[in-house]
Amino acid sequence: MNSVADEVRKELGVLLPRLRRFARAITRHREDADDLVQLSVERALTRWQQWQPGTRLDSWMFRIMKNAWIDEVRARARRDEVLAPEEAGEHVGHHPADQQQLAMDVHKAMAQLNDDQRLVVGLVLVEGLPYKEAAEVLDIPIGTLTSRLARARDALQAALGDPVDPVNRSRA
Amino acid sequence: MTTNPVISDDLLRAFVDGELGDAERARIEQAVSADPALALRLEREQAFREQLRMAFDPVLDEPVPARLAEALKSQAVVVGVDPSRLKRPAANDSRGWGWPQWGAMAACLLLGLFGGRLLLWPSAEDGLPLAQRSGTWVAQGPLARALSTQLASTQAADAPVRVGISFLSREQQYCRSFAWRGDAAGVACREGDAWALQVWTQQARTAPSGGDLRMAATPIPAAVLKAVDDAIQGAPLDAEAERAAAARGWQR
Repeated sequence: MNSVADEVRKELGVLLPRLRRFARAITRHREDADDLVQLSVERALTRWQQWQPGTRLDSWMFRIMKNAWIDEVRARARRDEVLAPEEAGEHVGHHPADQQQLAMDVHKAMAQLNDDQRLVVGLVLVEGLPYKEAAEVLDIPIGTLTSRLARARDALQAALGDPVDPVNRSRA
Repeated sequence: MTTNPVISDDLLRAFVDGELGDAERARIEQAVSADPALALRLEREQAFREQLRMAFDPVLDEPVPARLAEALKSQAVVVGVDPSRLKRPAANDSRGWGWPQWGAMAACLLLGLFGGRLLLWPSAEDGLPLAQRSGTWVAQGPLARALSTQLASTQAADAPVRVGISFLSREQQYCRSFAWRGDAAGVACREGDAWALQVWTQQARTAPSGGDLRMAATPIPAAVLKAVDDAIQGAPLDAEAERAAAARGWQR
């Protein structure tokens, strides 16, 4: 019926794996991640006319996901729900055996960040967005983005230990 | 750890993240090649990014859950209409009709019809002057009566239903555009003894809309215009043709 709507639908299909990866980075539970993707896809389809052709559809989706996730986090806080601590390995998908432990360590380290930090890490380090693009998705000045990213990186690196010399890895 | 104070951690990380321009990049590459301690710092930063990649990239290879693919496939008929797109392209007043002010920021919902199926935004379902009949959505109650009897040339300015234009479709049916109670609009075509909805748009239920219709010449939803443009054959009926068609019960 509408070529732009069809285009958005098609492109979203291509993006789904990346949306799931981003959701996995910013949520702490696997179920939350796919719920977030589903909700965001539904929202995107009701608002496709707000997307401007020629701009990045992935960034537009990340923004929708960010907003949906922040809403959810706030709603849970209002309901006074305490997030259950993550079961070890719950978040981890299928990895080659040698990467399984690493993936668990990374998810555990991510779980110690706050939501703002996880968003920055998800956009820049997981999804590879340029700083400027990520700052726009989050509606923050670029200086705020880089300082948030630096703090998140410090925390993750401290938790993960030295990746070059694993003998010195401090197991978090 | 920071043995080369000229290259801060922030700068090194920006380098790893691909954020530096050519000149700075060259400077760092040169410094790295001359300073083993700096080279080790760089290696750590690169390995850290690799750790994140190894932890998250496998998600890309997982099969996408069926419910997500379904969410995408569903004929998402509830479409948010960007208010800026509701502007009429040209002042062609042959179609001019009073249209209540649409909330500037309130999202508008467009409930389209696909293959005769109307999917409704859950909160909008109550109180609609629509009914489903053998798979098709048709006007009912006051809307159906107005479409059958009300003439655009004589209707009251504050009528709950405002008929817009009447026209003959390519399928040789009579069709009429209308506004309903100031927060919805659509196009319906005569099929047998019923008015079959071609498109129904509804403003989100955020702004209160009492009976106080303001008749400012504000835009008609793009979806309604498009439905008219898609269906119309020739020009809209004039007042005399409209009267004659109504007198024949909207049959050809």
